Amino acid sequence: MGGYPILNYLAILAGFLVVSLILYYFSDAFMLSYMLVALLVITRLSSKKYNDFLKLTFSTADYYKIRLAENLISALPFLLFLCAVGDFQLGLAILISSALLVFIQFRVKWQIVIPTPFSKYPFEFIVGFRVSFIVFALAYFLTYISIRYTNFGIGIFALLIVPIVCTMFYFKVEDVFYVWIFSSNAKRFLIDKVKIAFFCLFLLCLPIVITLSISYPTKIPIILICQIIGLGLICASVLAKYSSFPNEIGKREGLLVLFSIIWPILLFFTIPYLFKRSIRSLEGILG
Amino acid sequence: MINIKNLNKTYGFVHALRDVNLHIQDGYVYGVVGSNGAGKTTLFECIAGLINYSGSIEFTGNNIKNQMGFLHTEPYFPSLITGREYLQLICNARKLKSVDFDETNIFELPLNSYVSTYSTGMKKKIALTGILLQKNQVYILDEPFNGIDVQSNMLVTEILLRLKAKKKTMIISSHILSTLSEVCDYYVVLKDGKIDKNVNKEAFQDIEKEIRRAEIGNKIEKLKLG
Repeated sequence: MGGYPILNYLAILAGFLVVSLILYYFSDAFMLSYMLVALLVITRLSSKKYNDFLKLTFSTADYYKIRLAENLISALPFLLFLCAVGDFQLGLAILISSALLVFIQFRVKWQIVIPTPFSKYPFEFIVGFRVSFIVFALAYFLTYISIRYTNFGIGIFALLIVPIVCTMFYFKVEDVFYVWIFSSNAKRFLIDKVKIAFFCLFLLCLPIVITLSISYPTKIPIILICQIIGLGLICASVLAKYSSFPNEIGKREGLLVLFSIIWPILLFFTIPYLFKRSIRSLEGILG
Repeated sequence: MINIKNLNKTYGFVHALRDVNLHIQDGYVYGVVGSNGAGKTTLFECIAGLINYSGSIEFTGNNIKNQMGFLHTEPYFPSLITGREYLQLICNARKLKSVDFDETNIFELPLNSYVSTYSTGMKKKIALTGILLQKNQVYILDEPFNGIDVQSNMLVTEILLRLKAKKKTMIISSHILSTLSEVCDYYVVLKDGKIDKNVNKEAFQDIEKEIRRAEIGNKIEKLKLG
């Protein structure tokens, strides 16, 4: 969905609102967890390299103005949410922190290797997991909240958010070299890619599926249906990635995946259609 | 054998390769030389089938692509992937099982660190290690000595000599002619997308002198060095 920034923004906004509301209404440690999330977002612009660039390019006064504006813009969604729910104390704390963070820089170079259970199956899930591990931690936390407050809906939300986030791992198209190196033909290549995606997604969902199944035994059919929908979505996103390869995912294919997330029944059409298109795109490279 | 006939490649209005005809014999080492922009990388990518072209490139034997290793000038790596995971990906692609990455890590690379934190030379070495692990029959090596240290340069030269002894077919480009002449059986000189010369080992010295003359000439005088 690289070509649809507006959809990405809407998805991020919707995700932000849902997670904020769940944390606000169900978490015992709302203040601490919300403050942490806000600081994590704001400090993304505090890397030394980025700040050095700004310092070299702009005057000192302009540098501080730019950094202050950036931090306030990053903090804005959190401040608006807190104002809406009337938690002005926490809002003020985040506001002051965002202003103080202008003077702090971090030497971040992503040297801490985050371990993943997917090291034998590079690379989409390895990279995706390292980028989005906070979302998975949050999904597991929401599963806990679902059990604690006996709210099955939150558990199902957690179970669905995992595959939806994982579909994004396949939105970025790799260099053609990383397809060319495979000795399989196009069909085998796609089947192997989908099998790996199924395995990795299943592994990520397993703790949620088991916990929900134990806590809500009467709802096991719903849990299984949600898991099957998740597997269908990841299959569609793998196939969408290669449907216009080596070019980015086409508009039509991107929208098909998006509509399949909204109406999963569409997967019965989306998957065979994208499979055919992907085979055609890959045959020139893999034979 | 790789048989290239009337190979042409254009990028918009730029003619990168013009009517290239070349026979690559099995088990021999070809050094492709030429100044920047002469068309070396484009030629390599055409042979590998990584880009579209007009003309024909025929191979003897079945699906040569699956026995071909390609080393890019500047290898590209997915972000947030470690050296070990990269090697695993390369081996998975060729269905190679149980490869001991620590044992085969002859360049002593930090395999558990992100490749994005590697230096240029280290990136070259991990990419080279990957294609060596695949045990290919044909190697296309675009500037294999670029950015690597002296010790590794010696090691890479020795690896190439061992591969040559095993009758592997290699097509190598490099600006370091002394190393190329040590390894290669033939020189192919590319100039403005065309094959200017295709000579065997006996003519290497003449070619080197010619390149030196053409590339240096009286250019340095123009600098009027103080």
